Amino acid sequence: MTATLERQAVSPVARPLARVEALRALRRPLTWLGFLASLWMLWSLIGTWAPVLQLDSVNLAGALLPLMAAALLVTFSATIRERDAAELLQPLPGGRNRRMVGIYLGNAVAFMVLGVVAQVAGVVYLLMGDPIGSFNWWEVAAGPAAIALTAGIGMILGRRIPHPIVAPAILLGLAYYQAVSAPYTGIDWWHEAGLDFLAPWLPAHTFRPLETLAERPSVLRVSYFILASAVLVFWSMKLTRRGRTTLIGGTAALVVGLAVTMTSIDLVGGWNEWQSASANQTCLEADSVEYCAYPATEAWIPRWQNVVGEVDALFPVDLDLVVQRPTNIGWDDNSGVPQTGHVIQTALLWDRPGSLPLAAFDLALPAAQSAVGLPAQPTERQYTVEEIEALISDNPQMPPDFFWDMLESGETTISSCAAQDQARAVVAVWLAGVAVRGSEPIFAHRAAGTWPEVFFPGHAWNGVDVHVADYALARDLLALPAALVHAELQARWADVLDPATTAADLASWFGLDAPSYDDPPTAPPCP
Amino acid sequence: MSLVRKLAIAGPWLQWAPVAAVAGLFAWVVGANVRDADERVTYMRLGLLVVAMGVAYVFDDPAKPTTDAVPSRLVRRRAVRLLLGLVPWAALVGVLLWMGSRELVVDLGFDMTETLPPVPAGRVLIEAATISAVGVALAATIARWWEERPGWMASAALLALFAGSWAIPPQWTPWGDVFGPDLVRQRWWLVALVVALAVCVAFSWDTRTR
Repeated sequence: MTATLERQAVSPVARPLARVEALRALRRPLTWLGFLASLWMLWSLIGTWAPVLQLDSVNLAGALLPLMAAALLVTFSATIRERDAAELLQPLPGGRNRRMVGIYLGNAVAFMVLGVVAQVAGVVYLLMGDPIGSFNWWEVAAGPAAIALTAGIGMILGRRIPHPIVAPAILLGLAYYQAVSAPYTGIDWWHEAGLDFLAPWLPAHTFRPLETLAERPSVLRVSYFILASAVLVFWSMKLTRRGRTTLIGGTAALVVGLAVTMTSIDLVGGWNEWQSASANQTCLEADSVEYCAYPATEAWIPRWQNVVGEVDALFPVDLDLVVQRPTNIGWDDNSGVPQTGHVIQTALLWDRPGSLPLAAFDLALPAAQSAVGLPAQPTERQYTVEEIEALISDNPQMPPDFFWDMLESGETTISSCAAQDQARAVVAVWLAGVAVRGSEPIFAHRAAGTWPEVFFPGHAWNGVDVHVADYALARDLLALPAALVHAELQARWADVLDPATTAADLASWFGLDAPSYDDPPTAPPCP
Repeated sequence: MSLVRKLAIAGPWLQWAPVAAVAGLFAWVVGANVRDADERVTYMRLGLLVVAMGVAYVFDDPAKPTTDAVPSRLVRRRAVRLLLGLVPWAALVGVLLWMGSRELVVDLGFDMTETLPPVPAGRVLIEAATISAVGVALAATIARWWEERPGWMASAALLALFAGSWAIPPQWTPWGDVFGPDLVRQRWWLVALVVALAVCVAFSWDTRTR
């Protein structure tokens, strides 16, 4: 009877304490700093490009990294506070274990709720951006689950090593762990040992097709976060002998389970293997142009067709193939790309509706260049001695022999041609500008000679160098009524196609100022 | 009980153990797990930051209500605390510098390797001393208004300053190229070191009459 009364008296302790702790956590500036940083990270991960929901599910978890850090610090601080006030709290019913549960639940739940709020905002934003694919909710859930784990780490640290330096120091160590767990960091043995699995966030592999995201062990990772959190909370408690034995057994089982998982599962799937793009893509043909894309981004093909169609409606394009190549290795992975014909390599990215249409413009421009007779793919040729010397100078960390060997072995490079002072190059830029609505700011940037990295969508380049002065003339042309310019160009189409017709000639047709070129062309002129 | 044993028991292990663990992690990274010289220096600076955060706690004095009343000047007591704190500080900074002073062969891929040069110990030591002195000066300043745990605030401020310094435009950043011939930034580090020490002494000067 007495025991029952005691249980009734103590059972409500954890819940009200959790409520108080949650409210206290929500009043901490650090909490809101973490929340704002998570929103910023969300924006940097998913803000710019068209959503691909499988990939963005991974990013929705990664955006919570700042909240994970804040959860660790705040829970640690709450645990230390409880320890410092132990004498004051002693007379309260329930004992330290229940207070620990209350502190953990209050902090972990408060941060998890904030994480879910940030993720809901991210999901709404993604759904408004004309997404393709479908969410992997286990990947999304990995974010809040990792918050539960970092709160657990904060609790065990506060309980076992109660000095204020501990949490920030451990946080820096965890930050390093997270940094080297990115699949492109290049520490072979780290990835081979499967240590990435333990990191709060497992970023998507840049070099691998998005289809392989389905192979990620997302369910196992969520299970690991939850089980490890529970183990840490129990280690923060004072247990009976039997309870401690059970906990040791549970911890051993978790460690063994993790070791087996890490060694037996291909966690990042050949992190350093570059998958041949041509072997993983499907192709569709429409209006005598073939479009090849990875299955996960196949839904973008109609968007590509739309852009090419807009150019084609102005002047007929002469294209054979539009082919997608990975962003980071577009210059390297030319598997399956024909060496002849008009080919456009496009990126793994597409523009989000309402954003600057960079990817669309970079597709429209080579399409327009094919319409005016400019080559639509780069030329393959051997390196020159001057280029090798420049490479040695630009890469002082590399042994010079590496570059000289490239020359001796006849290694080839792809290079562009210069369309400087050719009327057709300016016309192609104008065509792309008319075909892609909202591309005027791109003109403004390129005409000013600035190409901020953030604006570079990472596409494989198409082989034609357009001078900034030609961009400026095209911008002036774009300011004139499109129908008027189109009619004039149609009337002089034979002249436009002639490589000998200069940009100055073109400017004179419309009463515009002729462009001036301060520097000589850096490549041979386009044929 | 021997004096050494007493000191060993009374030592601030709780404070320095996690600092040593994380600084040791960065020392290992500096000595074995970097891809280029810049990355090596960055991780070395991170390790030095952790050590500086550790030393920022030296003025935390849980026995202050008792020791405040003894006829010993605050500046003297703090000097003793700082001197004791400098022992683990010097050991950890020494380990970091030693790991950075060794030549390191890194794999560049394509069957190529590169030998990273040793990090100039003197220049990094100036940075280490200045970061730590700023931490200690912050603690001394904060202690004027918040006597209980100035180290907590000081180490948090140090962390925020360090993080913020990476957002400064390149021409104003305090982080110079330690391999380059330019010593301008090192001179500014020295100036900052002197200022930080002066602030530390000024805010530790107890003017109360005993």
